[in-house]
Amino acid sequence: MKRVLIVDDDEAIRKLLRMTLPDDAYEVVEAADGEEVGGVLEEGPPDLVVLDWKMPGVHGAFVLDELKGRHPTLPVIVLTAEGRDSQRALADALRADAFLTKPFSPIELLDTIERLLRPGSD
Amino acid sequence: MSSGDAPIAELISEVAHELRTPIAAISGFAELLRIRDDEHLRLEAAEQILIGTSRLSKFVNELVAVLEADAELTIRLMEARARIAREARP
Repeated sequence: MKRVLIVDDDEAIRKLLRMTLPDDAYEVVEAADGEEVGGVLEEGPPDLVVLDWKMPGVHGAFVLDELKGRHPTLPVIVLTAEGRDSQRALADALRADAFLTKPFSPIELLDTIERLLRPGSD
Repeated sequence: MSSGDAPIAELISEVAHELRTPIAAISGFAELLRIRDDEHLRLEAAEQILIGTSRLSKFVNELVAVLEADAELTIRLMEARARIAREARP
């Protein structure tokens, strides 16, 4: 069972992601903003993070930088409604493993998660 | 793009963000409905699609109201400018 952390301020998107991930294969933990991430990490690092970019309070870029600083090999997928090339470049520079824009296909997201969790994918 | 365009670019980015998020929920739940045969999911997805549609509709109404107010202000400014120009003529 893989543990996936979803960080998104939008409840509908968190619900969509939770329902996208088959519950016999994934344990889903949620954070509604960047500040909640620290509390979740205290329970142990997840196997993968799906991270919203533009959130009230702490921006996703800061969360990504912090995550990669503490857990360099932790796969992080940036999932964002912010499609500007500059933001994609910033996510790349901060070592995001994938960058998907909203609206997104749940199947594509699931494929990306499975690819990143495959042994030897890093 | 000049530096004067930055607020417009930021505004467009904000509007796009506010539109894309509910669209993502609607299209995502619709795709799950198409590929999964699950009664609980069917009810939840239908509910979320309705919520997303309502949210989009509300945002578009607010956006139109702002654009209408802005257009009205622009027309008034143009009228005032034309009147001043007329009055300034010898």
